Amino acid sequence: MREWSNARLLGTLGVLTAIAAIFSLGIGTLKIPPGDIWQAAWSSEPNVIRTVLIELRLPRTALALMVGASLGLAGAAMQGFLRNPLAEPGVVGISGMAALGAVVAFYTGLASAWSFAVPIGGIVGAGIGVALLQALAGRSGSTLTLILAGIALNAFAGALTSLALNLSPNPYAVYEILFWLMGSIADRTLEHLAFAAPLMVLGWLLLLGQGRALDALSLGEDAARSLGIDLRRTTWSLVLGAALAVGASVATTGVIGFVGLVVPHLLRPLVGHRPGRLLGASALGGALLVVLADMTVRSLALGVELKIGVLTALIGAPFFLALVLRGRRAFA
Amino acid sequence: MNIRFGWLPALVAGLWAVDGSAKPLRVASLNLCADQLVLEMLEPVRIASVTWLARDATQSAMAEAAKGVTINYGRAEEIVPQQADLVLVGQFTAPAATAMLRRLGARIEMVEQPRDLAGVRREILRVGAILGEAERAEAIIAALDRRLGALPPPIEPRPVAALLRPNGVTAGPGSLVDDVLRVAGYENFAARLGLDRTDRLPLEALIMGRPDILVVDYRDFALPSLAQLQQRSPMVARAVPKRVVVPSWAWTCSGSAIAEAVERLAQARI
Repeated sequence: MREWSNARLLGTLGVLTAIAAIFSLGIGTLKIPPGDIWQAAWSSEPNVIRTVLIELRLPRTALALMVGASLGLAGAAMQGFLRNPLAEPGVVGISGMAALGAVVAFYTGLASAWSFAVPIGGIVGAGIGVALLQALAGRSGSTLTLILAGIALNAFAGALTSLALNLSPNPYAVYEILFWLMGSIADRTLEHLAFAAPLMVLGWLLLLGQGRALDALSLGEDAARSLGIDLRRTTWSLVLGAALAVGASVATTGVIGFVGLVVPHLLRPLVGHRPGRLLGASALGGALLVVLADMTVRSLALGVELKIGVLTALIGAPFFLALVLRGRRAFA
Repeated sequence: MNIRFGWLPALVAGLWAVDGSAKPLRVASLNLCADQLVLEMLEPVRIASVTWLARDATQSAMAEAAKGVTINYGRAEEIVPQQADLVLVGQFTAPAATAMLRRLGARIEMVEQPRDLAGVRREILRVGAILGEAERAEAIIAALDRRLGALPPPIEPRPVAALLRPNGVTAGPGSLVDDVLRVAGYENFAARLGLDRTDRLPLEALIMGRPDILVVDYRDFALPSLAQLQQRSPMVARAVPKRVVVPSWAWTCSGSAIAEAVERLAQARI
């Protein structure tokens, strides 16, 4: 595939994402004609259609966009930093650790006292995850080490999450394991959005600022240093940025896997394999993918709504297999 | 296996009273609704055991009374040595223990889940007869009818009430809750939406439909869950500002607690 110019790539993704977001606002339990929505949105007096739009559909669409952008961006940044195409928040267990942190913060009642507790819990969990991974299979580690560390971290986080939910005196908690492990954007409110959004945006800024450093790092650490990149600062920004973006996302919607794997891989040829340019494109691509996935789970008439993580895994797992097959050919 | 231990059920069956039709002396219960009827009608000495759920004040109307009797965790092994001559069970609860006790020759009676207030009355009388406490059952019904008779009469048009249970679930026609709402003087929002007996309440419909009052079926746990988040959501409170909380224990089972649910609802109407 030929390389695309920044303007063309970001423009195309931006327009597609905007169209998807508008369609996403248009679908819900109630069939409201687009004309009515348009009229209600611009009407000066308060009305129920606008309440539905602002209170129910806006948080859902906005969260789908923001969580998608966070996961796509974090995936692209981690792959660039670890120089490893499999470094994805879900695959290597960072999302799982974020879910664990959020679960502990929520089910112990901390969140009743302080609403920021859940996103902060997610960020602390994700931060511990990134730090552990960095220690176990840092930049010098092989793909194999990274995957093994990721499997261990995922299993550990999943087990502790289930344990925490099983130990809760609230009998409903046990049934909520599925939400945390498979993710859902259903019934999220403006409050969820308000607490998670600022933290995610902070994470994005930290990650997007590392574009030049990631480009330099693709030449090797010594080359990066000679180009004037402060590796300590880059490491810290990436760890903190990924923890903020992934932690706040997972704390709000549970684990939505494979977004950070699929999106950067699809876009990499279009940016000429430059990790710095991949960041912005992956954020937009992730937003587009999650909004489309969320629209799909809402439109499938299966009675109970499918968890969005099920859908992204159905898309992502075959993708992962294709990567394995390609890798086998390359090694053979 | 079968041959070597074939004598076992016969032996254990000997533990139970032979005459199944006589007034049962000791009663065990394997179901929360049966627990509450047993606790309401029988002296503690005649109660072999009730389930551990009966002591949980978030879902049992007889939690205080249950503290004075033995509890079980729904296992046949616990019931066998208690020498009960009647075991009350539910339709869907502890099926394995029920089957085992039946095989061992215990006298088993099933307590039905009521679907309306008439069903509650029927069940109180039926279980009262089984327990040999028909008079007690009639006294409970009389007290229930007195309380329901003292309610303020319904006003037309009836205010519309939307029920919100954990996980965003509501109850439509054919459910006990639907009948309780009607007797308390409301129109059920779920019925207006054409929802089933147990169905999800779509939040968009809640905002668009503007019911007059939100009925929150709540169990007060020490710690939170996502299931109950919606009931406490400021967004739902903005959509329907008026609300009444009816605890789950008041309108799940047959028993005099049902009057508590109807009274709370009728008072909230005024």
